[in-house]
Amino acid sequence: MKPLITLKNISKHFVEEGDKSVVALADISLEIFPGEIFVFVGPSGSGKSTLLRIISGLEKDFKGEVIFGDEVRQHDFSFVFQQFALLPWLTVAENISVGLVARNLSIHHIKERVNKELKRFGLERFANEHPRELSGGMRQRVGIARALATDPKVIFMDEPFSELDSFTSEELRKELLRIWENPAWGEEVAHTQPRPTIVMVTHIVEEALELADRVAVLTPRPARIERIVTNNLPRPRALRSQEFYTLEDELYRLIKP
Amino acid sequence: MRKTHAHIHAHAYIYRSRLHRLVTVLFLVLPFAFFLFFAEVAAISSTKLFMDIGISVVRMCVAYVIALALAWICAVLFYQGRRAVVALPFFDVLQSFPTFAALPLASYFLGPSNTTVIFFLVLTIIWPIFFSIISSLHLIRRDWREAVEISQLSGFSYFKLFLLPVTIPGMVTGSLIGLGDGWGALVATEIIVGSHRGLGSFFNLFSRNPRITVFGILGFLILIFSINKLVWTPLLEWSHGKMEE
Repeated sequence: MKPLITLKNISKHFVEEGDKSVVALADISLEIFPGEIFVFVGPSGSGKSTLLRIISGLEKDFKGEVIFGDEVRQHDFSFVFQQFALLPWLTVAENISVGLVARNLSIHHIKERVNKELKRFGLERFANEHPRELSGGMRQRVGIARALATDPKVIFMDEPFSELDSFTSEELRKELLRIWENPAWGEEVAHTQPRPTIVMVTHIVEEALELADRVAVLTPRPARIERIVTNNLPRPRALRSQEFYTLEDELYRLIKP
Repeated sequence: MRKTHAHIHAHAYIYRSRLHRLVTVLFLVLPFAFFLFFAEVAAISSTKLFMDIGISVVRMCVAYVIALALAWICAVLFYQGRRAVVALPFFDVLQSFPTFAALPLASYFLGPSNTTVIFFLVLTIIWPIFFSIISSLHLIRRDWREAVEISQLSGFSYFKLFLLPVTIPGMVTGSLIGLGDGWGALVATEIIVGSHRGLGSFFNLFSRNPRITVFGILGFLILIFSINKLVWTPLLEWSHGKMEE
């Protein structure tokens, strides 16, 4: 299978006070394949989010190359942010519609698609509310709905569940998996839509193992790839199974504080 | 149904009670009633008084619209990057320029025209609006900017859904300060250039009559207070409320 995203020798340094140069990422190379869930884990401050921002094109100042497969353009990306990044002056429905408006779709099409996302995430009652009127879990639902509304081929997620309580986080992870497995949900004409590729960053090992097909463990700063662990456990994953614990132990051994 | 709910909510927000509605009407009526009473007591023509107020208000409105548009465009163009490094110190020096020092010269060349008054009003009003918008733009959260970038919002949609809303609080705050300075500058400019119409001309005409001057200033304050209560206070609350997370 041809990779969808290829990273070649990605390096990044920051200039701190006193012109001191700090290397954040050093020589990172890897491949991500279409339709997989690829998760980066690593200790705090290891540069996971910086790497995600480089891959998504939000961070432009780095060394190395990010190569995308022929079928992917910048247009096909979306991003779920740690702190939701909802625009507070827009309503829930308007927030979801932002990417659709940017694509110059007809008002009818935008409304239809927004309604689909509102329904999919149980947000219909909140369509005209503003983000400040919602709980954290609801806000991140809106964030994910906004990301999915444009039918992206690649979804970048920067610690999307870390601001939520454990129950809401678990519920949203299950919802995300359901959507990833059935992206054509709610379509009137049944058709097979390829699964989006998800590239996620987290510092929670259990979360990584519940979702990921492969987990890349980063070293402490400067971040390098310590190892890429393949997770072949069948879905839905039994979080209390012996196999899950074994993988979890392996990851904990690899992550150095 | 949701729309109706939002509609009711908006009204409830502006008029909290029947008393609030009554007070609002009072703010609308009070300046006019005062000026009518004042014209009667001071034995001056109410037509002339209202003409002077009207002309000054129109000059102020025109100057305000020009200043707002210019301030917004300059702020958006120069708030970040290399342009900001060069432009912001330059604007800072410009805002400190003593505009009134150049006023007699300008009025010598341009005469006591509307253009002269409006030009100097723009120079007074523009700076607080400009710097408030700059500060609004600097307060944009990085992830908002990134969310907009990843969604590829551009052109008019970018202006309407992002750039305009994030700058509204700065525009409102700057307008409040700018217009506060502007009212004083309006009267002073009209007096210095020797304008034949407007509040400056009115105060100039009655400069030897303390009673009329004091009542005039009182009426002026009532007018400004009413405009503030009716327009700026609700706008300020609304614009900052919109940004609440």
